Amino acid sequence: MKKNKKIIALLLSLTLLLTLVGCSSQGSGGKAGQTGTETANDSNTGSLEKTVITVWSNNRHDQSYMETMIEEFNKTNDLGIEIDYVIQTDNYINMLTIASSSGQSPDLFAISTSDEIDLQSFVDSGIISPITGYLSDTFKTVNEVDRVQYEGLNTIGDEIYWVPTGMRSGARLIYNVDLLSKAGAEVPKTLDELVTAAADITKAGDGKSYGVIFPGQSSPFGRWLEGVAQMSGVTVYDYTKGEYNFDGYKPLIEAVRKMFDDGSTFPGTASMKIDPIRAQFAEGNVGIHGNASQEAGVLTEQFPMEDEWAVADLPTYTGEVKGALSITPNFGWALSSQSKNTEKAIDVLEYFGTEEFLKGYLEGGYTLPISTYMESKIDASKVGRLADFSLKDYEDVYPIVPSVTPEGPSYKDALWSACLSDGPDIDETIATLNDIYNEALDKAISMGKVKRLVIEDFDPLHPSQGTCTYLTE
Amino acid sequence: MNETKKEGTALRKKMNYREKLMNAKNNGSFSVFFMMMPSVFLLCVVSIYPFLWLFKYVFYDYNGFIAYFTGFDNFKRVLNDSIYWNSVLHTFEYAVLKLIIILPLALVVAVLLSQKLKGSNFYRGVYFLPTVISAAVYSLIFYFIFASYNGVLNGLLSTLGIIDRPVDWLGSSKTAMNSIIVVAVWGGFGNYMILFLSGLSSIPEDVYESARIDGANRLSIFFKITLPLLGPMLKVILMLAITTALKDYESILVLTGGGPNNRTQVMFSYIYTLCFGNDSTNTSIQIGYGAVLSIISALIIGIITVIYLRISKKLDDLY
Repeated sequence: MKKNKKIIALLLSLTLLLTLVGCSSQGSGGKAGQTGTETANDSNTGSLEKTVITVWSNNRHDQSYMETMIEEFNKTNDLGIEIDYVIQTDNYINMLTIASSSGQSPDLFAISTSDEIDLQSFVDSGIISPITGYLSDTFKTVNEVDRVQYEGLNTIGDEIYWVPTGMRSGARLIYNVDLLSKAGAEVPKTLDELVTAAADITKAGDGKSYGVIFPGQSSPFGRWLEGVAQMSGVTVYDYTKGEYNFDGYKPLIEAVRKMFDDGSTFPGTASMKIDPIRAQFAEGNVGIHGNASQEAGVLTEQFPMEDEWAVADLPTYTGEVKGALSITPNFGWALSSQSKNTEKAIDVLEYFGTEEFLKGYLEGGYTLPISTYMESKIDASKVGRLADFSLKDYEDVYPIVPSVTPEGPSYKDALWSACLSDGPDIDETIATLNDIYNEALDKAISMGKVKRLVIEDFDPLHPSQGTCTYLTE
Repeated sequence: MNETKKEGTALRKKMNYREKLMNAKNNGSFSVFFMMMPSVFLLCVVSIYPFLWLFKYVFYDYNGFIAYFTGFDNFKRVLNDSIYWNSVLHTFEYAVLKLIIILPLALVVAVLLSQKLKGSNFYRGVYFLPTVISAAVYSLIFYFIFASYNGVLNGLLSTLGIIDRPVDWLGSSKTAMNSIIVVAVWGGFGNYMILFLSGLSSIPEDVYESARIDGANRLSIFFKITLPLLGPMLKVILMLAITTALKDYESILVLTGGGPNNRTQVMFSYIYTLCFGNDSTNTSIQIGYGAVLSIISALIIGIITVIYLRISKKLDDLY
């Protein structure tokens, strides 16, 4: 009996030992994994002298193009550089933060406005390093670096942190041509016309097709409703006064709620994510959908649509465009402040911004050109339906408003809730948002977290051209 | 004289220490110590350390980058946070509705399956299957079942003539919570069924035999024999069920993301959204405030568990 006990104790001790060894080897496994990558790359090239530049991206849609170009670069470059390209799509921002705090940052990482990265936080946390002094004249010409500088978005003061080489358009109204014509509806130009068109399409659909669809579980408000407000001259932030103001959203919320009340919205739309929404639109079950330029690829490749679909400008409150529609500069590369090979990392960044590299990328339809130089170089016939989303003269980049943490839901969530039939009172929602956002702004300013942005010469149609003033009270 | 005394005490201490070591060796205390070590180590690293970390951030406005000291602001905010207090109510609503369905159902199914009928092992496996599937996966399946347009449930009800227009099961505030509860019951009852089955198997067969000889019918056997003898097991199952129901949030995040209009927001789905973000919403990351809510929610669950344990003592006294 005692012997058995001893054997059991020995076995358990061995298990413990193995567990600990397992844990420790797992711990070094991360490092080993990294070294493994380097070794693999080294063995690929047959040279041990190459410097490995780790590049992270959260884009999967361009994977084949990126990998092909990187493979070619790794084979042909005489700079002694080996790019280790890693795609991190889940929790990208968290991954970058964790990697930085544990000293494992990639040398370069993809950055885009749609990631909603708070540049100031990245700078203050020492995650990102400025690239101002490193950029070559060719890179500056191709990417029009002097023009594509947006305070708080890719620059802070005189420092440039990343250069967008592409952009996502503002939202457009995407509609099913057959369903609209069957219902005898015109493409809506005002909010009232939108409500009427949605009702007409639903009526003509006879329970099979519906007027309008929103991705209730995938940021529905930001997709295109906010764009309707922007083009009507309504923004969350009053740039001339330097405070938040949500009063202007009331007509928009009332119109969307009316569509819900009328039953003109697709059944279940409030609980649907973006892909099921796209699938339903592609199936021809919905008349009106709205989104930005990524929908060109989605409706031709991910969910190829058989019915004829077309793209139109978003409606506005009165039919008149009174404000700029926000575009999203994207496809930029940021330099990690932890990179030990800054110059070689910049060489890679420059490669991603060469005319040859960008021509293929833009003609592949992975993004829209942001520089007029590249726009003039690409063959527009190759970009397919992306051409429908090309830059409009009313599109611009808005200055980044101070990032605050309101004591309550975000304005996008709160305004969307107010759009629903059984949602909260619209006036009350707007009043609460005005209070909590301005209280949060005052608090953040007093804590030294942000500064109050005031643009006295703010032009709603050209928001990027005003003079930004930052106040500490 | 004093020195001799000191030496003697030291020797005694030394002897005692050696003796203690020997005793420990003979008693197997070393084995216990080493066997406990991995668990204690993991508990410290993955539970106690983060918990202490949590206490630090309750005084900060922290979004994962830079922490700003805000004193007691996070605590003050809790008092006026209607979303949180509504989420507490939703948690209770969810837990109560889930428990009053899942426990009797699991018990009845367990009693039926313990009758050693033909195919009972097969049903045991089938009913237990949801327990081994990830909540995120089966929630996704239910997402399609509950879909308003071309959804399985709406299709069935429409064919039977029960509804004339599609019901928005997950998108309407009237039906969303009930739909969530159906998923929770489906996913969880197999687990409680197995626990009840193991409790039932511990009841000796001769007790049933004597009852039958005395002329007891099935119903009186269930209420007078089965239920009382299940008492101790029932106590544990109830406690597990209560704490699990109060902590559930995974399927809610998949099915509704806490919506519509926060109707299915429970304590932990709200905290998760604040601490880690959520695809369905645009709430900014507020780890400090999330930490305060985590502590308050843990206290709420703790208080409920203590109250339950007090009440459940009476279960022991009853039987």
